[in-house]
Amino acid sequence: MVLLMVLTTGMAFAQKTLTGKVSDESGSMIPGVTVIVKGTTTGTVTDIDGKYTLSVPANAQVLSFSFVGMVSVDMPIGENTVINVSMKSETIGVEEVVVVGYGTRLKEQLTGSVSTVSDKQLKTSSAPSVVSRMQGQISGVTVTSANRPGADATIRIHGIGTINDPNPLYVIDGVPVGPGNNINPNDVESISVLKDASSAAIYGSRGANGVILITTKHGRQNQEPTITFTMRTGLSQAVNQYDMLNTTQYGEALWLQAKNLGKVPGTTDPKSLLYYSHPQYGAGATPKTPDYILPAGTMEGASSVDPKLYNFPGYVIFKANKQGTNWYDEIYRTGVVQEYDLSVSGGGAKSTYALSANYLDEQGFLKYTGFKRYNFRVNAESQFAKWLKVGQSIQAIYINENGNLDNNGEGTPISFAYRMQPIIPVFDINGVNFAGSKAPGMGNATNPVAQLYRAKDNNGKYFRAIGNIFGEATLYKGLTFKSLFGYNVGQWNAKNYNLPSFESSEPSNLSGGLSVNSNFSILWNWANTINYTTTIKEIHKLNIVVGTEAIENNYRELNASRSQYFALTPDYMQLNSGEINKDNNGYSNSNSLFSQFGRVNYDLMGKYFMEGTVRRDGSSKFGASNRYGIFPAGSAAWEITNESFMAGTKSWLDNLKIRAGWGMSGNDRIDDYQMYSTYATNNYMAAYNLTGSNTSAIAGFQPETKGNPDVKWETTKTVNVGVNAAMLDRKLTFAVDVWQRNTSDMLYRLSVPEVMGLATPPYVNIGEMKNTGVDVELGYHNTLMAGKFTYALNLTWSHYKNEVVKLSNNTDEVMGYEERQVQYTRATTGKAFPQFYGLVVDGIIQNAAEATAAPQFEDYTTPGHFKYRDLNGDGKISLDKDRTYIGDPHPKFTGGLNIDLGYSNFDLNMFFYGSYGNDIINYVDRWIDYGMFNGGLSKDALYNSWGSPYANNATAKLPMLDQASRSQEASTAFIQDGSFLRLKTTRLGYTIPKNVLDRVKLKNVRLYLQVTNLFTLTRYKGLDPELDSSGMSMGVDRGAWPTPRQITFGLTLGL
Amino acid sequence: MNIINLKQKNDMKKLSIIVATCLLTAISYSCADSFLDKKPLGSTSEDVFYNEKGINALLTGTYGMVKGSALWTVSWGASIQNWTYGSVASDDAYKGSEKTDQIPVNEIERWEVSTTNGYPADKWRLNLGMGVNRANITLNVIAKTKDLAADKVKEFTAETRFLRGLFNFEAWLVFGDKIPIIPEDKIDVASTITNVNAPGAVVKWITDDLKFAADNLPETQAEPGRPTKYAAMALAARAYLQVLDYASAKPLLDAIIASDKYSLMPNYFDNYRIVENNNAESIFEIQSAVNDIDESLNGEMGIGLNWPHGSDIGMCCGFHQPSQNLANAFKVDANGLPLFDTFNNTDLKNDQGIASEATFVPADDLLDPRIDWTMGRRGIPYLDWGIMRGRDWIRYQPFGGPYMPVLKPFFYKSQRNTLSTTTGWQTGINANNYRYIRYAHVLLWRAEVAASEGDLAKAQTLVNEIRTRAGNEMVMGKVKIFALPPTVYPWGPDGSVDFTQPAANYKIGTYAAFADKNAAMRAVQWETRLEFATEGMRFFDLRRWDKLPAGQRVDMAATLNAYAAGDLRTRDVMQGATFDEKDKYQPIPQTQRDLQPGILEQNTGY
Repeated sequence: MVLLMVLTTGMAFAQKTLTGKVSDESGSMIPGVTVIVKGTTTGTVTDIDGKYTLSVPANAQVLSFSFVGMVSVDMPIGENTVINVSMKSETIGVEEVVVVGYGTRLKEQLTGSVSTVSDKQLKTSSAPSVVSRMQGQISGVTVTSANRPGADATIRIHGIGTINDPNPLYVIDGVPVGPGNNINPNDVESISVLKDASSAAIYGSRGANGVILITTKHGRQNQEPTITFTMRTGLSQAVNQYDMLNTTQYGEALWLQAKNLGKVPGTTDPKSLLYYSHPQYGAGATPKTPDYILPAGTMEGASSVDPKLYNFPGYVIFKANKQGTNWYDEIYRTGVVQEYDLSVSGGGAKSTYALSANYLDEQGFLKYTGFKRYNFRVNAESQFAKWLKVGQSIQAIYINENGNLDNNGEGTPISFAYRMQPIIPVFDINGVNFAGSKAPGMGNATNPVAQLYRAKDNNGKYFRAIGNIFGEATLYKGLTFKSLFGYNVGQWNAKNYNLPSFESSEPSNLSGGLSVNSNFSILWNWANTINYTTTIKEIHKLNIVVGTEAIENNYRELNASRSQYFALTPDYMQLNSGEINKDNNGYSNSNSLFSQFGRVNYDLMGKYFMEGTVRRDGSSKFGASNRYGIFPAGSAAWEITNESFMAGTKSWLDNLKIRAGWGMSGNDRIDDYQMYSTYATNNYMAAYNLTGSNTSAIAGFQPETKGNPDVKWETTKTVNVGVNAAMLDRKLTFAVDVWQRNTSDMLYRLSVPEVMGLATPPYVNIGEMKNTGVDVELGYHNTLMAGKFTYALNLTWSHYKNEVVKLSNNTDEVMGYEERQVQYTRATTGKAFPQFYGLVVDGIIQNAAEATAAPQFEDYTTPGHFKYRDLNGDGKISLDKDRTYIGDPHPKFTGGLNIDLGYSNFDLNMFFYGSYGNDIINYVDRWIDYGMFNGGLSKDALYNSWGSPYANNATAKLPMLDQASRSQEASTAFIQDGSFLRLKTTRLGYTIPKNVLDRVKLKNVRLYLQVTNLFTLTRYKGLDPELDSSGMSMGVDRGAWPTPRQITFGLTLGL
Repeated sequence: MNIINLKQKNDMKKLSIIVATCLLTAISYSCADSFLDKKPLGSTSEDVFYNEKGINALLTGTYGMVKGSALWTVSWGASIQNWTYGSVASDDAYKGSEKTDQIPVNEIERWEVSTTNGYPADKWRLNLGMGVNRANITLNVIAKTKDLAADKVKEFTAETRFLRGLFNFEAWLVFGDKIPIIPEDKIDVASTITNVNAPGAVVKWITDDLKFAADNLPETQAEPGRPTKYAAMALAARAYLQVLDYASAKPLLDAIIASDKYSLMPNYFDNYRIVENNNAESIFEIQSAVNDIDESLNGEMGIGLNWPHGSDIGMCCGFHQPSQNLANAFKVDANGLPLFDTFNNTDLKNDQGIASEATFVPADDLLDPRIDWTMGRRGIPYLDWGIMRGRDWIRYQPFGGPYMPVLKPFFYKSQRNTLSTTTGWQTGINANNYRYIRYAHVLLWRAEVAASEGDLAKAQTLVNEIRTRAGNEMVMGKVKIFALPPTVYPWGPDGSVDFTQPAANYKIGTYAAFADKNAAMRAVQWETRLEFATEGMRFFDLRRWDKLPAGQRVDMAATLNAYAAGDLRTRDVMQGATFDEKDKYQPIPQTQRDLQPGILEQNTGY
């Protein structure tokens, strides 16, 4: 719109009038096509009938027609006064106008590293979040999706810039928002990703991790109302399970384990150290599967299993599941996914509008889980006066999610499915109440079906409104002033029922409990910008933006819980009906930012482009002495093909541009109030029952934080060099960027010796991080069979290398990530953030001689155990001295490949995504291969472990099954190759021919069938190599929701 | 289509003025310092504490640390009950539970602690990082507060120094002399203070605080959570006992006895009942509260794992099970006196490996009645929970042995959900106070002083006083059925239990005059073990008795290695485990040594 304003103002010197009409391939007239005199800003747009009238300078040579989604057309003017054009739709979206911070650019004017994602690319995926849909569509970003219903994805732009929050800044229609913003992907017109600091510096202290600018759909001037209805519905299923032992095999594994521990099953004297018995499988030489597990090890006919005795929860009876419960089958289901979307857009001469409503209902493939989202949006703009345009945008989002959606942790339903023993049935003999680990010898897992069922009424309701209102005044030719007030208001309400789990060996919440969380956030921003565009002597094009912006963010939360409920029903269980533990809690914070910024963009003869940016930010997050920061950037580009010496290449080279940029941007995403030392009350860490009452305590105070008045934002400096090229009539396009990001003043919570007190230590600007990388985008499209068959290939390829240059002044400083007393990852100077850390396994010790010769690890070094490598050569293994870096969760590269094929009215899209060279540590193995706790075991544990009668010791995959904790140390044995190539989407579409539609007065009807996650090539043994875990736990699989396979049918109707 | 014509130029001027004004307003409003000045919400700075109310608030926060838990900043490794270092590492108890749960405690049980073990690190963090630091902050705030009445200064200072003494004492028990001495004026340079101290410096540092507290605290406190003069004296006496400084301990213990403020409760088990919290025997109790201001986190979270697991009771997670050796120690001879030399030659009959449904007749040996207030044995009533059903009630018998998790901190079924927590997963957390120091401690410590001095009559009187009381109450309910399938829960069919009969063949006798000093000392030591069994003191008692002169000395290594060898009769967990000199102290946490390179020295042998 801004561009159109600019264009329509440049018509003062008209000397000749051209008219004409613009149609599409089918002959329909296209309104809103930009018509400009090439090389100038003189132009107009076509009206509702696709017609235009334009006064042009007498010396005008070429008329250029462009429209989003169509191939631009250049027509020589010559002596013509009527120029009619037919435009073809574009297979690969090369956007004319690219949204950049506080403005727009023509694509060829870009000097920084900016990638765009079109609405067409977003439609390649049906993931619920916009970020998930960006996966593989552009280079230089890595996107990993979480797979639970409604889940967002993690995105990293140009590596990992910081050990702190590495999320990019999201700006929707000029309003800063956080990740997980849940807007409707169908509403998105375009996304710009500002990857380097030269483009992100305009966002100052918030731009260091890149900026994602999302623009929602607008109506166009003189556009007939367009009504589009789309719907899709389909099924979602999990495709993977761990291969677990059944009941009989599990008994065998127990006996194998007993033998490995030196027992001789069958020994009859219970006092003998050789004696072995199991409460369920008996004390014989071989395991005997009982008929019942509660009462333990009972056979049919025993008086204790008489159903008359059944009395819940005092006396319950569990049958043994002799075939074995497949817990995955029990927790999985086929989820139904449906989405309906209605949008209306249009515009008159002075006003435009776009409205939409969307409903998404995604049932999870785990029982009783689901996500519903309702989106409503209105965008409207009006040209009030010739000099004044006002507009507004508002999106209302309501989300209702329910069930247990916990992900990637050992206490989630997915994890309990592998932690449960197969002999436990889902229900007890009464058929309604659950069975569980309460039966002796059954470990301590929770029945995951029960867990899911009890959480079925847990829900989170979330309301958010994002919007803005703006006015834009044209003060003088080329000079506009825009004032935008934006807001982002969120309200979250969650209700979780904590119901008793009597069937568990460690039952919890016996009297029932309820916890309710509610929070409210409001962010407003007010941005005022003056934009000046001018062309001097037709070859100097200048664009200047200066502005100010104020942002304030307020957050408040209220949490309450109760326990002891008279009735355990969701209706009865409210905050007022809970009898005891009436706990309430709250938290608030607030921060603000005030900034001034400016940017100059200079285009010389369409060949040389230069841009300079500076932003000055003042932030409440930092102390008065460091409150303000200045972030400069500069970049330049050279359009070589426009040079005269390149005339000879015109026949095949359409465009070749070299870009280079340098810039500084910041990251202020740390907790508020870092400069203050504070004390706070705390109901359990600083409270005490001084009065001797049994049920009350007095709250005191504790040191909470230690302040650092000198704390400031992290600074990231980026150098970026890139090349863009288009060849063979733009059929072949190519872009490559090489970049380096250096983060300095990286905020690090200095590890303070504990004797200094446990108050949260302050952030100190001490760390440094470095990322280098290469991004490649390659596209080719063409037609065969006289245009009947179209095809397009689009490849993205990204590589980054991350390195922690410095954490603190102590070069030995390390950060680590631990799970169940074993450290898995580590970050330190000179290494990536993070890397896997542990012992090196040199095979399994085969015999006593080998054991004696091997470096000794306490009493662990015996046949059947791992031979660990003695790295420091002291003859023994110790965790202090013999651990090293054993793997890398960072991919060597990630890539996406889009294949679009079209024949007649059929179209086929296939989207591949892959990651190469990343390792995964499968923490799940510790449970199922090594027998941590007495839960489910993998087939390998029985059939492929050292000492197993089924295995060849020399080639056994696992050490002997004996629960030895030293076998479970983080080691190379746990490292797996996480590389994969996945066919993410396959979609076959059919567009009903226009001649058929004309009879039923429809503009457009398209049907499609889509399958996601059709196949995955990987050597990873876990459920899914595509693992959404970031930060220090990157690459550690703790039982994450696997990627489902969805089969969807979709329909688009254009009225 | 130039949008600016002459007529509009006037409008444009106006507009420009309006816009300029708007911009200026925006800038000046936004630039105002107040806009960027955001003060913390819901927390405060130190200066608000410079008054009586403020000091009380900080002092209460300091008290909060005596519980030995501050989930999740520290977990079960910091418990003031020292169930790991004082009990599991000794011959009193096992880690219990199963092998792969809380693996670091396996290292403690087997005396193979590595310097990266997270449990001792918890103890360090809580006592030195949180406890001492908070006490020091409180002392500094007291000093900075003007216009505070002299008696208030005295009261606050004395309480705070008592707490600091206690935190240092707890760290000292676990780590020995290698703890940094951090006075309140060194709070900002604490990280530069070495843990290498002159001999005797640490015990002096601790007892100086406690003596100041003893001199300035009142004889009684309205609020039972606060220490009295005598609590300070008793803790100082315990500190002196650690270095066998009997001469310094003696007057303190005598003063407590002479005060006539304390007496033994009528029944032994009163010391472990919630309804008898803060009783006449209590000198200093660690207060426990459940279902309070924030769920139950003011209960004893540090022992949150040490409750029955699964089956009919079902809590979490079956840790801290008494050892067979301890069961054996409760055997008595025909006179009701201990079998000092032979107790561990054979095991008191147990049901290891025997199914609950199978027949098992409990031992009919003569037993000290305290056994069944300490440990849950098969076929013996387990408070009011029912007949203890043996294997089905144990999380994993081959690893944890045949006995229920330590009974003393447990609660009655009738108290469930009122005096035990109703939230979370550690559902055994309850309102039972931990009797950190009770009058029985004072009596037995005094008896030990007497024994070492050769005051045989005094030792005899005191030990017998303890034993006489122990005989006052025994577990009632003779179980007459010997196969215990789930159908018998809780008490079996009518007539299965005769509640008029004692549960086992109890007998406890008193000592006749001791033959000599050595016999007196042995009786005192034995009594100390039985009276306070599983209460987290045994390991530290063995360690100091190891330094007594020959004849009175208990050879700690020999005792524990004999325990490990004998334990193989019950389970194989201690196979290959050897206790040696280095295992007397836990290692200084490696993470802290890394953060204070060249400052913190490691304990010998690690």
